Amino acid sequence: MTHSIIKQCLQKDYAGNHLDGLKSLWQDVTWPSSKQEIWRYAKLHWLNEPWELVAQKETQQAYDVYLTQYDLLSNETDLVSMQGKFLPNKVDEIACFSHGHLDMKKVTWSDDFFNQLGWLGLSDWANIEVAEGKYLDQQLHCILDEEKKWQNVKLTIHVKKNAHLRLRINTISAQAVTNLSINVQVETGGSCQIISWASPQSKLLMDHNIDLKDRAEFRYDALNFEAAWCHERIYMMVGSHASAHLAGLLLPSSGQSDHKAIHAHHIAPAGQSMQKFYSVANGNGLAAFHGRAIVGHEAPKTDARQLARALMLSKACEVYSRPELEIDIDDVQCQHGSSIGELDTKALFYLRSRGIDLNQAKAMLIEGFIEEIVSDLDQSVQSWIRSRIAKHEIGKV
Amino acid sequence: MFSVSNLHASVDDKKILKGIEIDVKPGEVHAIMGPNGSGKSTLANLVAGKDGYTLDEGSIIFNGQDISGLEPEERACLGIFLAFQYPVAISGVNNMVFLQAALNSVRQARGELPLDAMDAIAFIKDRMKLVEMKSDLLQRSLNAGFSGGEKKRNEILQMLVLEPKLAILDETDSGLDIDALKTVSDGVNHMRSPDRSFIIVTHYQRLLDHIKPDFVHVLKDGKIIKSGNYELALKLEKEGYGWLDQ
Repeated sequence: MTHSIIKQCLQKDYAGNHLDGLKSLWQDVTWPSSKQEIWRYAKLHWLNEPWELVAQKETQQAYDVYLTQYDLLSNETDLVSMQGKFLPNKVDEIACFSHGHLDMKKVTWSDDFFNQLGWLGLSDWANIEVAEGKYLDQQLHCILDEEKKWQNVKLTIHVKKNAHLRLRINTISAQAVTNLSINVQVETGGSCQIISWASPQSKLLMDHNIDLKDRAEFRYDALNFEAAWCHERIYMMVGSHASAHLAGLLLPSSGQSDHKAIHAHHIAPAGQSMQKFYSVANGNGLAAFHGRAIVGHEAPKTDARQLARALMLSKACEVYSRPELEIDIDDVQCQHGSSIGELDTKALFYLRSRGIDLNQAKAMLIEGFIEEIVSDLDQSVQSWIRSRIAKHEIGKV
Repeated sequence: MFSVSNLHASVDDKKILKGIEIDVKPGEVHAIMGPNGSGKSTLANLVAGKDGYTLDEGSIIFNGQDISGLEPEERACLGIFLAFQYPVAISGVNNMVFLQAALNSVRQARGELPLDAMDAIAFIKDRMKLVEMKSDLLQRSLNAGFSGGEKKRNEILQMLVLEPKLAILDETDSGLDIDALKTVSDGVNHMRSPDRSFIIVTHYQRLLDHIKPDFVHVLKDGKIIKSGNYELALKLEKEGYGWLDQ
């Protein structure tokens, strides 16, 4: 799956004629190039450093340092994946939780190496199962220190009938690549909300598969705007009367890129889906949104919407926006919209005519644009996200 | 306090203003009337420093300083305020946050300490009473979803908050019902003082019934073709602009 998104990002029709620019973003990643090298890589970085040798106390201190750095509180932490291994910090009795390493021997070579990397081997994994009718609020930190090159995390989430999960995932990996895969199944009447954030300069490959049963509700907020690069693919199946809201902020400045590839497949009647992604690009940053909503003939009364808006703050930045609808049946409501532009000069003059200087006026307009996404976030993270956006300084030249 | 002399200006290489002379002394109210396309709004935008308006000749003097080369925010900080004919709606920018930012920018330029959030709210809410503005409009995005009347009240509120030395009202009366017109006018009259001046751009005499001008100028084809007092506004309302061509 991961392999496919890389290929997709590199396709000429997806990223225009900027193949070289995209490739350059990957230069600092050590990619195994042959079967032998893969095994050597795995052995060096995974098998020879057994986690049992790392003292729990040291680990705790280490992640406390990381969390403090990003204004995150360790006492709010529920799960930690530290350097590639899950450490349950607080296991709620409501959840059925299991974790561990997958068996290395399951890895076999094929052309689709990255697919296997995410699904079979070299991964640490956790299952979160929320029992019927229960509510669980969890915070997960995926932390990888600077010595590691890779972090593979696989989460399997099962929200049972009428159960509810709110999960906040913070990926902290300054120098490493995090390969995060999330499989979500929400049963009838259940709801699941996931908020994803990544620390500055993180490198993310994300691959999510979402399965929404009847009347299930799902919300995903992609807030990995501080990452050096982020390639994120979401494949979602929307059941009868189920609803899904996918939103995100892409704020790439110089040297950063952010790609979202979303595929919402309505497979039953009366489902709703919304894809709402806002981008602000500066420097030579690159933002790409490719959203698809597919409404099959078996899905009448579907309401599928897509909205992609983007601001370009520099001449060198790049924004690609491709909201697509594929509709096989008449009785549906579908909308898609896309806009890309610069800061509104009339609005800038209005603010400046009140004594607000040019830089502050620009910052206010950018914040105002972004606020349409932020004000719609879960109340508990709004102020923290605003502070992260302020530190990101997207409007700074 | 404020004067323009031999003012020539163009927009997109089209000459709009062709030699305007105005001298506004402290405490005076000047009304500028004129048919559509005569250059009234161009004059207002030019004084406020909007991009795209080119000063071809002449000068704009404010308190002894030529302000024609200054940025819009520098002019505002000197005490020039433009109430927009069409206030811009800015989604996502909180009205209160905007007002506080503007207030503190101008206060700092005047050498005053910035107000903290609590003091700023108290100050702004006090001014809101003068224009009978609903307090919930403070928490909404700037002018977004505001009615025409609410936008114009918000313009006058900004003027009351920023306390400029020269306020230019560009067709503030357009789109206002009778009650709103009186409320807005009361806000302006509250601001009148011996050291504050106004330039009121309008099509109609009805606003001038509430804000009595000291001088009325008729602008046509980029030139002031007639100046007088309030009686001139009454005559224009009654007879139109045609008699001026004779």
